[in-house]
Amino acid sequence: MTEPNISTLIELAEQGDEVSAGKLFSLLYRELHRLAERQLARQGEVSISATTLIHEAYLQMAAQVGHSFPDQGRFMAYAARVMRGLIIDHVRNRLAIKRGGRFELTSLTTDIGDVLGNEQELSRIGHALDELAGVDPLLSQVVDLKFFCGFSFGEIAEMMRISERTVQRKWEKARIYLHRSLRADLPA
Amino acid sequence: MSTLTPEQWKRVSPYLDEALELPPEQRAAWLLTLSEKDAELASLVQALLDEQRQVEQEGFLERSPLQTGRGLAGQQVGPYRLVSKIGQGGMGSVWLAQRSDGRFERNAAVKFVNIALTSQITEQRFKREGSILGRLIHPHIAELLDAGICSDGTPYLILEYVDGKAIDQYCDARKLAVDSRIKLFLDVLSAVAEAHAALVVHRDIKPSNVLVRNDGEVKLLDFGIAKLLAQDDSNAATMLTMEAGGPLTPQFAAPEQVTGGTITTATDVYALGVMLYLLLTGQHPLGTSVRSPAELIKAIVEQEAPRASVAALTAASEAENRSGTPEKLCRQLRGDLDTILGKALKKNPQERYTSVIALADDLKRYLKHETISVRPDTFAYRTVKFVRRNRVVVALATVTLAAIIAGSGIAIYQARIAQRRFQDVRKLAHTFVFDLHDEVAKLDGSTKAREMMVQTGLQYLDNLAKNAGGDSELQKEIAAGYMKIGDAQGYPTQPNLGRIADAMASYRKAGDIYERIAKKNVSYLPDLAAYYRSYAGLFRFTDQPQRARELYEAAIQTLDRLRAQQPLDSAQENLYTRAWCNVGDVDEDVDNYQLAWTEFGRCSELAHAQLNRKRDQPSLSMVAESAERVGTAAQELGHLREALQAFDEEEAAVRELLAAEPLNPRFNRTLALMYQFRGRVYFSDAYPDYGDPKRGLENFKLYLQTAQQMLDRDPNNTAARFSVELAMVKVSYCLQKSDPSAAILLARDSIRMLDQMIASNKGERNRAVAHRAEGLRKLGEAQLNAGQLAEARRSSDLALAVERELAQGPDGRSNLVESLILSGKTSAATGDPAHAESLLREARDEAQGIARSHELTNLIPLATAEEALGTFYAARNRTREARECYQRIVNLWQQFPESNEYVDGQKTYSKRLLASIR
Repeated sequence: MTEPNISTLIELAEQGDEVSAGKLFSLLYRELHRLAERQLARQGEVSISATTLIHEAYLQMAAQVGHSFPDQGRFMAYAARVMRGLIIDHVRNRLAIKRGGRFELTSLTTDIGDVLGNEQELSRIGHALDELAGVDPLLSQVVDLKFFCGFSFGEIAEMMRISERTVQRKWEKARIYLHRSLRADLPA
Repeated sequence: MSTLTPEQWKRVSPYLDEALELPPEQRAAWLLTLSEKDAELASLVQALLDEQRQVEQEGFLERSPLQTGRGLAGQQVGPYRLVSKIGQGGMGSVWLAQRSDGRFERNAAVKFVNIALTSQITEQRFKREGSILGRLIHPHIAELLDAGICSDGTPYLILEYVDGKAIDQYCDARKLAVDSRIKLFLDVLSAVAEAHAALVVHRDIKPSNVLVRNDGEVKLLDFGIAKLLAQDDSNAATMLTMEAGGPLTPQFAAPEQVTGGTITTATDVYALGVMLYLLLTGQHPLGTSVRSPAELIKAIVEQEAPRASVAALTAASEAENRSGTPEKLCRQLRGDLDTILGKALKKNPQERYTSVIALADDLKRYLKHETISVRPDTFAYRTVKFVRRNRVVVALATVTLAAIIAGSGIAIYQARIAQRRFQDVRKLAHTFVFDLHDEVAKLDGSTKAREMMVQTGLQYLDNLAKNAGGDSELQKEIAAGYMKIGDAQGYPTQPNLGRIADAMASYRKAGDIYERIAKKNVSYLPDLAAYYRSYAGLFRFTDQPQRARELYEAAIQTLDRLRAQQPLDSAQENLYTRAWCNVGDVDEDVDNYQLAWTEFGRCSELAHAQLNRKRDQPSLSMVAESAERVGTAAQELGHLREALQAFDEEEAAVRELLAAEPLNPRFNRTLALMYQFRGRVYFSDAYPDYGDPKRGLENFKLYLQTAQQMLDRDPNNTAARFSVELAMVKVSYCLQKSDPSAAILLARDSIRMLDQMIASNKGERNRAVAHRAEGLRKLGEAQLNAGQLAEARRSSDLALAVERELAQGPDGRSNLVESLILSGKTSAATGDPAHAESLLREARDEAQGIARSHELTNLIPLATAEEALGTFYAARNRTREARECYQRIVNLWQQFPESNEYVDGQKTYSKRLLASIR
């Protein structure tokens, strides 16, 4: 079975092909996960930042595909969305992972209460972000890149080809939207 | 709060961009302009900006999902090793650190400053400023040991570690009394004075920066740090705060800090004033309600703090924390402490205490019962001060005067000296009863002082009355005095001592005198008429309408008697018209709308006659007032066309009044109410099928706009606040069908406003609670229309629970009917038909109960309830039951004795309903 070409997948996903979008997601997820595992195998118990991971994924995949690979900004937008999923899953499985001594993302907590609270909150943020993506996709991208992947405003501005001030404003708006949406289930 | 629909988000998005680009201090004005163009949109943007404030406060999404607090423990900062995190705030995190370089061990607090605050800071400047602060040494100032920047660029401060409680918590935990609190506060002042002498302004004084150790030692934290973190220009701290929730705390900010004025030692004086106010009353001088930054800034700049003594009256727990009762606390604060706080909290920095030392000196004088340096210029201050400091002397004076009065009864016929003494006493009584009383009445919470005055005044008056002889002018003065005393004892519409029976007794004394002198001389008839009208009020507001009506009629007859002899002047005509209005008011109070309508019609004629004689302000006001009454009574009766005519007439009169005085609050209020009344004719709960929703909406929007303008001009105006809230509900109601999501937002805004009012506990709490139930009901209706069934059911059930509590009297009961209907509908929509049926039947039965009084407005709920029940049955193919309901509606309107546009409309409509079943 041939793996579908990632640049083809991105093209198709951008045209609204949901099957391709799904494939793109799982491809990127596997890739990011694989990179994290490999890092671990190479260096033992070690921390690796989401930012590094995602950069590495880009370099790896771009090298495989060559010229036709989409630009970094477009790739990052997808990869960041995938990274969000990876992190939420990761936090969810954190205790299990720790016991199994598998890979570790940056400075993980040892405080159990904190993990549990975080996990719920993160899942809700994830849902709200999916919703936001339907309303204003650029806002949700900024959150993926900033909050989940830890890119700076400057880096995001470069990737998205907009000004840093605009990124900051989008970040503010997205936070307002998410905050409101997360608290929407409070009684009137 | 709710998730925005994509449409709403797309609509609001560009405006939100615009708002976020503005400096925060310009946002309020910008919103105001927007709200004139589009009030709903503006309120949505406002809500989102409120949300942003919370986002900032919580640091929402600021922490990476993969980071936690333990990361830094064990790391080394300068000579200190981090032990554990002890705090996290907008400014950054604080760690307990230990120094151990072999020779000695020492705890310190390491403060890491949020990097976002400090992008402009150079390491060099940071170290330089830090070393200046490091030289600031005082037993009550926590020492700054070192300052620097970590390798990753995060600035840090190393401070003396203080193991203590924030000063307010410390005081409350130990239930310190007022004097002990002031003594502790004087320690704070000595520290601040020392820093000011070294030309260091704190800029961020607040209880959490003033710690008290277990041994009672006060330590000020963070001296000069706000400045250290600011850029070189003076208002940078403001900018930082607004952009990053940083070192300055808006709740304690002085006006010049939020308006970008010069920051001086007076800035600290202000913050100290806020803190002392908080320590003494337990309350913030600007109130406790949650606000948006824009509102807070407006309040900091414009809103005067209530006297501390008044604020103290509101919370028993605060008084208990000071080992006393609210009344005792109020007494302690009233006078000097009120004045001292007032001086420290002046909006204009130049009017505040010129130095912290001056403030400290006055507090010390207060503790020693000496005269303080500041003196308010009101008469009341001097009197109250005089009375408190010289209680014994005053008591003696009272006794002596009484003796003089008693003696003068004989002296008056004998000697000119005695005559003069009598005049002195008369002047004194006059001062006591009139000038002094009115002055003191203006002070809130002055009940005790007024009680004393009432007693003393009564004594004087009784004595004077005995000796007044045949002097009618003096008699009249005494009668007026008795009325004043009666007002203070228990006139319901003004601050009073709650002694209705005493008030009536005093009024009767006045009445005897007026009747006697009017019998002798007709020129006293107007005084007698005015007296009857005031006296009537005592009965009207204590629920004795019959007696009130008789007295209003007595006032009218008295003036008719005068009119038989001479033409009335304009003041007398005005009184005459008002008395007629009052007769109508009483009839309206007892739901006799038909009679009231006729009487108001009479008022309107009289007012027009007055206007024709002289087109001035009083006559225009009278025309507007009577038109409003005609309109509302006509509306109650279903004469909707007449009601609209009357409101149009009212509008013309009010507009003419406003043309002369555009900002007059009373005229504006009248206009706002007129819009509301007229809107209700076009579109109302009571007449759901009459009129013109578009014009209804138009009127309610104007109502909202007018009320909002009034509130903006006077944020303390509770009536205007209610109007804004009510107007939102009305506009929401109009939009229910056409724009349910906007309707939902407005209803929520209204509920939020009411929650703030309820939380801030500013009077009329019951009214706010009742309005909140109505807001919830409208929210539920809008949600039902928007298809948000579960939410609708929750809102309507919440409303119903409250309405059940409140249902007394026809108004409350018809609200209950509406609530039951709505809950029935939402239950049906959420798949609970059995519950729905029982609620709808209960609604019908409840409405049946109100309908017994055969007023139109009391029948409408029954028709509505029958229709809801009928529709419920029809939808479930229970045809027979549905038909019975609809048949009862047809009968109800057929039997209604009168014919007007509303009733006729209902006749046709109900027949159509019935026909739909066959």
